[in-house]
Amino acid sequence: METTADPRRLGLLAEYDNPADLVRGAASMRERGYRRLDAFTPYEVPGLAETLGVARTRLPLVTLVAAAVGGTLAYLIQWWTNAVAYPIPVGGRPLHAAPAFVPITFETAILFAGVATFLGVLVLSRLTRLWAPIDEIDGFERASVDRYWLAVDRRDPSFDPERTARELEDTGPLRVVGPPSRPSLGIVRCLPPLILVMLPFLAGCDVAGPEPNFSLERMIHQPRYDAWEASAVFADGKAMRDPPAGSVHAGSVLGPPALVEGRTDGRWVEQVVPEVDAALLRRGRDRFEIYCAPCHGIDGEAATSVAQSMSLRTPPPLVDGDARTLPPGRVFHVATYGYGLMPAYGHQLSIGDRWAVAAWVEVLRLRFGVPLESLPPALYERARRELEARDEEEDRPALPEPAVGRQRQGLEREVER
Amino acid sequence: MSVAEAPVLHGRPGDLEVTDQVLAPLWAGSRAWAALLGLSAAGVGLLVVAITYTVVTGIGVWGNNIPVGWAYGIINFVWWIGLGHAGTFISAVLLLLEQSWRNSINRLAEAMTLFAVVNAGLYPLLHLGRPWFFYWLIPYPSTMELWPQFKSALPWDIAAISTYGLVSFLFWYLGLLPDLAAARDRAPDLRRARFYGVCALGWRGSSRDWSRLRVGYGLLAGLATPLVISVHSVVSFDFAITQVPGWHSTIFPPYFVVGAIFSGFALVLILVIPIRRVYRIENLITERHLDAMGKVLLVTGSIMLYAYVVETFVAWYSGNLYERFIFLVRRPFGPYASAYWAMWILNAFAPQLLWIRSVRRRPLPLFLLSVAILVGMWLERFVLIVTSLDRDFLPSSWDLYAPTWVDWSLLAGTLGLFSFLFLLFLRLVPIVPIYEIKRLRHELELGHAG
Repeated sequence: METTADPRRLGLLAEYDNPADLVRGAASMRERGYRRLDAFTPYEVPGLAETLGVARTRLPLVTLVAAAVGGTLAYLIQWWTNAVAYPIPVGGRPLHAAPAFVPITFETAILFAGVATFLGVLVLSRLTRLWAPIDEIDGFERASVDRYWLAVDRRDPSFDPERTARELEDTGPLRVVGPPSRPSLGIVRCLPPLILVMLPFLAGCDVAGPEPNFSLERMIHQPRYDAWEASAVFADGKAMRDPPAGSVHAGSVLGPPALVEGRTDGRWVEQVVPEVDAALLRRGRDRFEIYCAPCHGIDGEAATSVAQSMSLRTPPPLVDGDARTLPPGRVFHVATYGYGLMPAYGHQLSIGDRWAVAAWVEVLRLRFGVPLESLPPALYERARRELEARDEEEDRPALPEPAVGRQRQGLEREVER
Repeated sequence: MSVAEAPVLHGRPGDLEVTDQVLAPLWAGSRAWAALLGLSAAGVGLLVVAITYTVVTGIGVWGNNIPVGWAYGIINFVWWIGLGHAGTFISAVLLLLEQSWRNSINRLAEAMTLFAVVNAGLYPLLHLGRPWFFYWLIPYPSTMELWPQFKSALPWDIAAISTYGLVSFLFWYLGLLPDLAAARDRAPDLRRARFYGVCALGWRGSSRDWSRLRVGYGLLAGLATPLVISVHSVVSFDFAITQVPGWHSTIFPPYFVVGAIFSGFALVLILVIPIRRVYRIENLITERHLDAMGKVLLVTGSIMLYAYVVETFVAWYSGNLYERFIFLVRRPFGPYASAYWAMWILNAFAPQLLWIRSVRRRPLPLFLLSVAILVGMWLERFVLIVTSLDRDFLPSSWDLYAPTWVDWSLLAGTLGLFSFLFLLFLRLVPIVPIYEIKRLRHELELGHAG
């Protein structure tokens, strides 16, 4: 705790030019009964602290307490915020999840312990005191370089200015010096810089209005217009402004609306716009099975485990129900911009690929639900024959096949074709 | 003379001699230093441009896409934070193990840690997209009554990185106090005496202060040791606690920590080899230091080799289709295969050259090898992040990744910032702990240490 840097305690000092002489000198002074001794050295001389009788520091206790406080605080904050104040249930996992709280608890314990240890050294050693009377001794600055100083406290019971000086001389130092006569810095000299530091805080004072404004909700209640709100500022009474006529969305592809949007004059395109050929269908099938099938199913019936898990809003079958009647232009548009929970694929599939996918959806729809009468005459006869043959086959007693199996057979037949 | 017997300190320079030798660069700059500082300032300028463009426009200017939402931002973050680890390892772990050779290089290595952490911290901050809301990640009673989700690895990162940065700084600064005091007392003019006087916080070297400093420094070393291991473990949790193929693995924490120390020692060597020559401190940083660091590289590099083999084996042994695809098909034969094989050669095979004693002791091969390792470790993070994300479970979410000029500018810019800060450090702070050298010399004279 005490340090001889304190002006009231500064007694006599002896300067040595090597650590061995200092340790010998300190030991000899100890023997003569001096107890309030200190030394100033460029590095920690081994054995010196024991010779001087320096007490063990309480620093480790500071570190331990800080670590315990930091760790406890961190755990409590995590538990209270995540399990009590703002619980976020994720997949039924426990809200109070001790293992997940370990890393932050540990890191915060280290943080508190580290900062406390550092501050502990500063406070216990009175560091940040940039000037002390001892600094006024000429040559004392060599204590950080290559000189070794021994100091005797004025309040030591054995201290006597003349006798102590003689005894110090006996230990063989370079010289023995007394305390400097310069007075200590008054607090008055610290005031001007302090006032300078405080000045900017004046800016925080609200002096413009007749009365100070103490509303702490100002950050929350801010006057502003939200989208779709009415406004008296503009002639059309809307807060939102229309973009200038002819504005184009950044990054949008320009072209005939039928081709790039799947829509003309507000109506969905009824036909696949690019020319449909075998290559386009192959491409469409390929893209469909990569990008669409995970949810909508390879056959477009949406009988997938992904679809079943999306209980909030199930992806619809594309070949059945309402979605069956959607025109290709609409399918193209949904593939471009997404719909409901479905994300947009415009950045992953080119325009040609999206039309190919729309064409493949048309193909999938031809698999069933097509009235026999609507077939062209050339196909009509063949289809009727094959259907009759199948009906005969199915007349025989057989185990009912599961739905998925039937679909798969249908798909395989299609692939063979 | 065998290397093990080579001295950690050449000659027996006097107290004053050592002090003035180490402090000399503080009082007089050189033209080469100014030129290098100008060059790194250009790098900092590039960084400022890239950051400004990113913040003003949004992180769409990066090459990141969906699915590769983590790319250069996280690659560079993990790389930089790993580089920092050697500093703490040298100063804390080797202090506790009483390795006296660490004393000459610990300050340099710790400064490297600090600057690496500064660079590492930049990336996640920018990756937030709206970096000015970074404080949302810290639990504080907000008017929105929202709290962070502490079961996610990302708040763990915040705690680990900020603790690491702060504790490393305190550790470094505490060890610096006596040398700042020496600089104060040897300063050639009042202006610099005042500067170092304020920085030294009034250190006078009383025997009580010395014993408190030793205990406090030891305590911080004891805290920094588990900390350094935890930081990269937490970083590895960012990956390991996900289910992404190639990431979901229990080997990650040890593998990341070793990789971090591996790359960090390579960076220490890259810095130390030219510095000891330019500053003529080969008597303080000797062949023994190079040899010891070469051995650390050899050990950690061999552990990397082991980790790569085990990782690949487990992917095959798991029988998991996706793991097998990533490790056995995508990485070795996919579009990023060159990065993958370069990673094996530079990280796992090249360090095996260190079995040869002359490679460990000669500065040039050691320097070149260290550069190779730094590149290799960067590629490792690239391979880890990009090849796992660009092909995950569903083909419908697949996409390739390519960085933009902004990504490259940020990487180059942080290299510039690192050099800039490091050059300032070389000019403003005694790069070798003077008091530790003096004490080492004293102990050598008494015959306490070898």
